[in-house]
Amino acid sequence: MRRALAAVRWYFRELSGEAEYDHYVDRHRRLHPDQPLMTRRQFEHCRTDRRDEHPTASCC
Amino acid sequence: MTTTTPASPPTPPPTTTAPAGRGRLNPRSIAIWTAVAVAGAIAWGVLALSRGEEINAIWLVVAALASYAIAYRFYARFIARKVLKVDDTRATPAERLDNGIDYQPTDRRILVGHHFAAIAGAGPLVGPVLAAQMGYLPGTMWIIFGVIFAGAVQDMVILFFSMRRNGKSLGQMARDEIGTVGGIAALIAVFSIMIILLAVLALVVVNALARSPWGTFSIAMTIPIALLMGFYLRVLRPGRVIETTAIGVGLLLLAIVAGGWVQESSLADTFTLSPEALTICLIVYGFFASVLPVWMLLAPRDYLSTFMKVGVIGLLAVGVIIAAPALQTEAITDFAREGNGPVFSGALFPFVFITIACGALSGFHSLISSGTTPKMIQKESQVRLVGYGAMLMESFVAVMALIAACILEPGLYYAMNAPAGVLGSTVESASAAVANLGFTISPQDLSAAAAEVEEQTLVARTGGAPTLAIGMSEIFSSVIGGASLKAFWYHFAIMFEALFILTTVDAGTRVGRFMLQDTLGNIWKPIGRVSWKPGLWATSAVVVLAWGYFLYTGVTNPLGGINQLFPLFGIANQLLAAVALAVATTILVKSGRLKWAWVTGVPLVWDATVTLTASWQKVFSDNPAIGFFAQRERFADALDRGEVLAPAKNLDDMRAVVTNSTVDGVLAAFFAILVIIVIANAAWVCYKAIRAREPLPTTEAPYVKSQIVAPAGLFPTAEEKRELAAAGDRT
Repeated sequence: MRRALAAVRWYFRELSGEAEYDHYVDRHRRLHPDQPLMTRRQFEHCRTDRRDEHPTASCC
Repeated sequence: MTTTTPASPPTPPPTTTAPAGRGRLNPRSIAIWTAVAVAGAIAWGVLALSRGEEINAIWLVVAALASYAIAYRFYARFIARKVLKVDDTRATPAERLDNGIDYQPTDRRILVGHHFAAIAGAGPLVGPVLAAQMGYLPGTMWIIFGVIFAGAVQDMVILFFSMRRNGKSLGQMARDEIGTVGGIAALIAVFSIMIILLAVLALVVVNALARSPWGTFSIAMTIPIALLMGFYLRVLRPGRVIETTAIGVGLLLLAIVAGGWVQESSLADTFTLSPEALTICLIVYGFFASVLPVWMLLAPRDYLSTFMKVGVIGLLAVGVIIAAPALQTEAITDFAREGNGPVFSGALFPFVFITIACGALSGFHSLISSGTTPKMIQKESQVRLVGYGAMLMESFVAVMALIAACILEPGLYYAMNAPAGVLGSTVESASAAVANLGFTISPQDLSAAAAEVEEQTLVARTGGAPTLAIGMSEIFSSVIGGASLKAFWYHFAIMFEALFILTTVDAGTRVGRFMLQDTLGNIWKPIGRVSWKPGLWATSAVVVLAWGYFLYTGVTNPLGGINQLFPLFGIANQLLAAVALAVATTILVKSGRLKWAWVTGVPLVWDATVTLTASWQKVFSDNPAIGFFAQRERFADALDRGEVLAPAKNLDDMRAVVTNSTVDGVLAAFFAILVIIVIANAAWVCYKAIRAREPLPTTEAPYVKSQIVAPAGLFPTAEEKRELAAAGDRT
């Protein structure tokens, strides 16, 4: 039961993009451990603002 | 790559010595697949052979699911292994170019969700509802066989080819593989289909909200709700998408309930808008929504509409299975044979295949399959789940929309879907018009049906959304709430469709603007800069006015906007599918896989036949109900004589019909010419490739060995579990 709930939570976090920051932190620590990390606020601003310049279509 | 017959595949044939757990035919799997095949065959038999008796919708669901399962298990696997030759030792662009932004290896289960949310919108809900005019059988057969042999194949193959080319777009692939002419034609096709698509979708919303204060209020409230969510996510709790969406959905449900209160209050008149007023509102909204920063309106709306989309489609599937409603429509109606239906004109061939695009074969998907998805896929073999699988899901949505339309009394269906010009504006005139079509609904029943969902009228509520909403409210209220919740469910369904149509209008305007900026930027540099505000406003305005023009002509057209514009939308969408399939076939031939070229070649020939026949009839038919120019001539002649022909009411209406028919006819001809150019160009390239002695240079990115371990399908096989465990993965 607990495992099922954890799986649902994982899926929702991944699908909604809420987990993106965690992936960024993991990746940043792995590749550039010596450089400063963006805060969640900075990261989310960059992530959303990128869509202003790279629009993606959704379908009919 | 060679042009000779390909050497035998690196792994031995699966039936003999395949590795344990993968593709071996054991007695258990033979038994399961035999059972699936038998269930599907029985369901198809019931659907095809019953005449005159009531059929339960469950048979449709069984026929669809069994066919999908067999197609996914056998045909999709055959395409992946033999035709595309997916290679899981080869690193995908997500792995090679991983930058944490757009190139990012993403879990297949997440990616199939993203891809499905991106491809499935209002299309699979609207087309099948209109096609119900032909009966349930033609639509069902095209949705199911179309997706298996054409739609899902296109999505998967384009996804694969784009992935092998680092996520190139369809337009770029057309230019690289077919040539400049094909590339430019593809670009024009994409832009024009976008404009027609946005106009038709906006028209669906206008028809759903016109003179409905409840619906208009609820939808209007989504704007402040989205702004609030945007502020919350930006300032208060950055990145907390789930809690923001939960708040948003709560407010959304409140807005639906509050719509009922507003309808009863003195505010009702404020929110009772004519179609023309709603059109102006939508055009103004479309402009501002597309120039505001994404975080304010689009991003929160996206979260809401994705949640609603997936949630409501899930509910509908469960509802259909629990309620198990009976179909009221005939299997094949007389309109299918004679082509004189009121919803859209023309006979079964080719118009059923034009009306139902999304859900069976949709060219638009090739833009998503060559957009963000190929940059995120972890393993080549996952194209089967993400490309083919997600399209099967969309097809199932279309089947459910068809069910929702076919469980309505035919009399009610035609009273809602025939153009206002045919039905008149009262329940009495509508009842008489429906009787003329050969169906019955009394004025009292028509008023009662409207009262049940608390709408002023249901007469001529064309566009598909109100019909679908009535069908959904039947299904939902028979599961939860009974008759007392019918009005709520109706407006819930309207909200659900309008919400994501408006999101598509916003996102689509941005994409159209981006293409326009990109193209014009080649001529005059500043306009190509996406951050230069005046350029942004000007190009946004051009795009909004372009779809706004078609929307306005659709709303005011005496002949009915959906009746006139929907075939154009279908033709444009299938034209784009022809471009995508031509690109895919060309790549197969150029890479020495001539013997497998039929996999995309046969759907291409079918699609081209359908699209060109439909265009031919729309341009050259001398029946004014079908041919745009015949229609133009009929009304222009009458206008010269100073006569007014029904359904036009005055000379201005007559002039509007003449102008609209001319524009629509020119567009239909233009689309057909584009298809012919692309296909002819592709055929020439294929001919040269077959005649060439030397193998043609490949356009694929070079091979790099993959380090990622990930399963191919939704559930890992035993062998994949061992591989994952060895790689230290916990999932």
